[in-house]
Amino acid sequence: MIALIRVFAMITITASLSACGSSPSVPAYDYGAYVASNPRSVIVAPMTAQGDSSRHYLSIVAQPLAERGYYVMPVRLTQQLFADAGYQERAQEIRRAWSGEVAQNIWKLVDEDNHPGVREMAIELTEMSGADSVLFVYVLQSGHKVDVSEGFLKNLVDERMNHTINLDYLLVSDSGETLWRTRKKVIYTRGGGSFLQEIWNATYKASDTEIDTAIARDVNRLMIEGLRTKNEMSGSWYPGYPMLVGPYRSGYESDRAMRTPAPAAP
Amino acid sequence: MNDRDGVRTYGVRLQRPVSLLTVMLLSIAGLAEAKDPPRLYLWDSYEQDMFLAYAQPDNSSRQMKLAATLLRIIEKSDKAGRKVPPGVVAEYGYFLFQRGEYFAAIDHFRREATAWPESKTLMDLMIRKAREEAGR
Repeated sequence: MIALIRVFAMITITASLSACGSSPSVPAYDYGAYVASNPRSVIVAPMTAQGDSSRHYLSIVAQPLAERGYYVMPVRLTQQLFADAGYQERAQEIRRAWSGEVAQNIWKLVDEDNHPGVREMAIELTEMSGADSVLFVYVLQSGHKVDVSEGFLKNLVDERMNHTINLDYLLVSDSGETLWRTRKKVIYTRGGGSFLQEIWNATYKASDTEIDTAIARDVNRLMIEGLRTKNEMSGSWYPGYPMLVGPYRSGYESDRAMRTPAPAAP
Repeated sequence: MNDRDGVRTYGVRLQRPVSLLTVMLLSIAGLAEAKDPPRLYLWDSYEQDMFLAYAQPDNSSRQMKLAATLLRIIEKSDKAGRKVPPGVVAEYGYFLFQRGEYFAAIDHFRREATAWPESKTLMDLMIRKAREEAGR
């Protein structure tokens, strides 16, 4: 247990976290469909059985969604129902299509109807559960690479390794409409060299899965809860366009009002 | 215990807690800096125990630990007069369902549906499943 507390506490000292593919000059996000659909509840789409990062992600997704003010369908229960109903295989197919699109524009999957699987699944899952929306999250792990510039031997000594993780979020309404989408790529350098990290590395060696999950948890904090992180405070992360505040958190109405663009002057 | 022993004991005790304490302090500093809004719910060790349970789905002691944590969240929230987090009563009910305690499971599914109207469709489905299983 202490080990796990340490892993989850670790996210506050990931001083060398850096976000890629993001710049401060991001066009304003259009929350129009999201505000109009006004979901109260979210069901987390089936995760594929393949890949530890996807499976472990299920343990950290309910809390931020609930704290953002949504009713979250019980994750462990619903994932078991999905597995019994054969949804994991379908999720795997979607994931394959999704992965193929990663270098380009993954959102074509829904918007241009290139992959009707997402839409169909969203409609089926919301019918089954009564949820207003489905959150698809794809955790794409680009492996754990040693830093070749430092030399292999030094890597062995330092355990210096890069973790590259992509998190793609897609919120779809009960009618199959895209409400919100965002992606975050994070590179974390293990054993990055700050004094605090050295203390960390000397006292506890976390597994790759634990590190990936801790990073994903920090990204959830940013993208689902819209909370600033220490890294962001230092300028390397920007808040982006998080999920809207749900009905069970105060600030729900003001957040919606803020996200609704003023009508254009006649 | 003489002074020397005392010092040695202190030294030994200090070694591990220092790193943990450092981490804890950093954690607190990080949170304070981020100025988090107040939490809506009590979560206890929900994420840690879910993580452990997902890491080894076939490890029954980890599953039991998760069930105990869910129950603890329910009891602590009730005691504090706070709403139990979404899904937690249903998740605990599902543990009871898996254990074959169908009537106790139904009680929990009903409680979830009453507390959170959004869950009614899913809870009705689970209640039907539990009744079917109980009738076998």
